Amino acid sequence: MPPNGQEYGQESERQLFERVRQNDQKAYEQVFRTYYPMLCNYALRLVKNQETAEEIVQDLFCTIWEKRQQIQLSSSLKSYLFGATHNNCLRYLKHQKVRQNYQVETLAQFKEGEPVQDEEFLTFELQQKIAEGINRLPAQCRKIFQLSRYEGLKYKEIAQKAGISVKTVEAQMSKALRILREELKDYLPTLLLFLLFF
Amino acid sequence: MDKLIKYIAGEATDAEKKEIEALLHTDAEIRKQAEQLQAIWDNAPESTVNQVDTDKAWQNIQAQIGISNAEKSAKITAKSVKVIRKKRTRWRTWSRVAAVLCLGMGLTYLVYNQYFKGEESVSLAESSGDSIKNLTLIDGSKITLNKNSTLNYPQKFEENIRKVTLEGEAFFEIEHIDNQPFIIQAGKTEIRVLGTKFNVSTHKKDTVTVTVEKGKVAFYPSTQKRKKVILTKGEKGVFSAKSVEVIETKNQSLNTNAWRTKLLRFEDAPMNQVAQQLNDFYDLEITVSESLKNCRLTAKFSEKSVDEVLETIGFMFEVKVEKLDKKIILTGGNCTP
Repeated sequence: MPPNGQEYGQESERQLFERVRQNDQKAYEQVFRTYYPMLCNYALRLVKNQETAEEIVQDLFCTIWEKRQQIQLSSSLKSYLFGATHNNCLRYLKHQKVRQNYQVETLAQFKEGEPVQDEEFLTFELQQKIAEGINRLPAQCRKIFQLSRYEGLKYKEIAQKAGISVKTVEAQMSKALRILREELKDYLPTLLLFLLFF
Repeated sequence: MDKLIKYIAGEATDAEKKEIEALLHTDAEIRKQAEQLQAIWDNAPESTVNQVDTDKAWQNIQAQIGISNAEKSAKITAKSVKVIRKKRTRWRTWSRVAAVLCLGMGLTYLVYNQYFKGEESVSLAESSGDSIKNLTLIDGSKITLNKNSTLNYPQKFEENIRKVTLEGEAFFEIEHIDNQPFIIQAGKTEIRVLGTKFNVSTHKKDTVTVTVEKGKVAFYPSTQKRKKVILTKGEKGVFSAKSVEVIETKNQSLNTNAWRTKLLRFEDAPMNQVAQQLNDFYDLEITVSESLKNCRLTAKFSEKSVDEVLETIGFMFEVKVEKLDKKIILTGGNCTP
């Protein structure tokens, strides 16, 4: 069962969508601005082309507006948007019939008709939020975090590479993770609970 | 929390590790912090977020939504106009008569123009039906039409453009003529060339495929010339009507022209690709088992039947062939060379 925060989010989103249904373009703009960047990045992972990804998501938002009266949200607006983006990307890939290996692989990973799991896009959303957080870190702090996290360098190696003391590396790492945790603090508890429950 | 961060980053000493692990068991608050930090650490994506222009995108959406609203109001106006028109039946009858007269005059003018002035050219159509057909156009360009395909072309080309329309599939060898480009209209796309050899197929629904053998062609959706893709030797462009876009790829198949040459060639091609190309060529639905997918085939089949081809493959990779009409399933397979 999703915890309270999640429910509240869904409830206000339902109200928002109710306004969309009543032809409120301002409300629709709000939905669009909240989800557009994330959905594009999600689509990009599937279609591997930025322009195509953006086109697919824009098409989706046009279609939703046209069909706003008919759409029934069975779960959250977020699930709906991610699910629809996912399906449209698959349809696009299938349509391509371009037999490049990576696309065959992508298709193989996601069987058609298989509904996208909430877990999958929630994890994706988390990753996006972390990535945005990392982007906002001060440059040196970000660099040190990346060296430690992705290149697997020890603090000592990072210190040598950057010509700073191990203590500074340690301090910068602490700073990076503290900032990230602070930025995600409203989001993480609910998400973790959700991911644990499903 | 600093110690916790060191722990998660894998920098804690053995003593520190023990200390923290003990704390994780006893202190719920620490445990919560650790879970959150671990989630951040584990999920930190390597790729950065791609920036998108949300403002511009919203403008696009607004424009499109606006259009659809305008369409709706147009429909409503059309409906009310209909109601009014019903009351004016007599006027409608007269307007019809007038329209027919106008049309008649227009046609007379056109016919006059064509036969007496000879400026407008007559349009010809060539359909291949059940066999493959070779054509030579007035400009010397050679065209091979695949089965069930139609080419529409003018008897005489315009001065600064050579334009034809293709339905189905054809191979083009276009003669180069300065300042008179050759344009093929295929489905919702156009292919613009000066002088080259290439294959165009519209056989698959909602897609147009162009494969270039020699020279250079521009391939674009008819309505969006700026979305053009330039294809050169060995490249392939696939247009999808859904996305109204041409995607450019390497042509991995040696068999684009097999329908013309009757020669199937494979060079170190994985079996799933082989199956796909056999399907296109023989119009079959061959599926290969997982174990066979990575078997690689090098072979040449000249005017061979499906059975002969399958026999060879079966022999080479120890494959079992199950045949049910057009559906053929290949299983088993031993790919160790």
